[in-house]
Amino acid sequence: MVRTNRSKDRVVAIQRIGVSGGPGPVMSRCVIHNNMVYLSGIVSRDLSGDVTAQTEDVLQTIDAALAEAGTDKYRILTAQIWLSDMANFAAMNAVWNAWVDPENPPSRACVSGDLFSSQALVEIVVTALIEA
Amino acid sequence: MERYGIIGGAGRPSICLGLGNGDWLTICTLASDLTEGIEGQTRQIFSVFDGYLAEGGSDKSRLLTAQVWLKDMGDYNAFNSVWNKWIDRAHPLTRSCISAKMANPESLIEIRITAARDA
Repeated sequence: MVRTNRSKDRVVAIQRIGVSGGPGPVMSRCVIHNNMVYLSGIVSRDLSGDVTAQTEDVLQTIDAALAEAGTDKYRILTAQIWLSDMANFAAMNAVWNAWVDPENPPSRACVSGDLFSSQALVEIVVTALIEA
Repeated sequence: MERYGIIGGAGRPSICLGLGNGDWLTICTLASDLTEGIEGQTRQIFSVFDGYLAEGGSDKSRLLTAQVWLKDMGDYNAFNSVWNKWIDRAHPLTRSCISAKMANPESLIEIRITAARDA
């Protein structure tokens, strides 16, 4: 008689990409649960740039992370943008508008706060869908 | 939909601390004893998370994402050392950590998490 492994059937499928184990924060760059993709807060890889350059780099990283997860910017559901200085809003938003597909924009909030690195001007968190 | 830790009344926001629906659960709280420092407040929050994760049918191995708000980014290292001890190192979640003003100046940290669970 074949016994169904019920506990295995009920295991929730979670995939993690870009796991860092310290000495900094123990976290993942990307977690996929069913058809939802969660990305960590992304800052620019080059913090010497202005808000335009930093935003462009953040969005490039997000494109790459979404591609790795099997989706793309057209399937972003929500974006949380953190600016270190709200005076950078217009410059950030110009880069955003050039990047987003105006036919398929995500929901978005943009708030000002202090970022971990005092040189970081923008941090963006996105959640996206993987469509079957 | 199930709600956990409904609070309210005079001087308090009418909110629930945790909410579960289908195969996910979200919990958001600050510490209840604000006389403690950053490490104590962070541990209090994780203790609340442990309780509602268990009550909601999830656990630390199924955390998906966290948003951390610190009152002062100068508390980052102390907060992060408590984080690294609490996290399931085999199953880390995504995270963003930002500094922002708090409603109560004694509140040093607030965290919201989303976790997966069996539907």
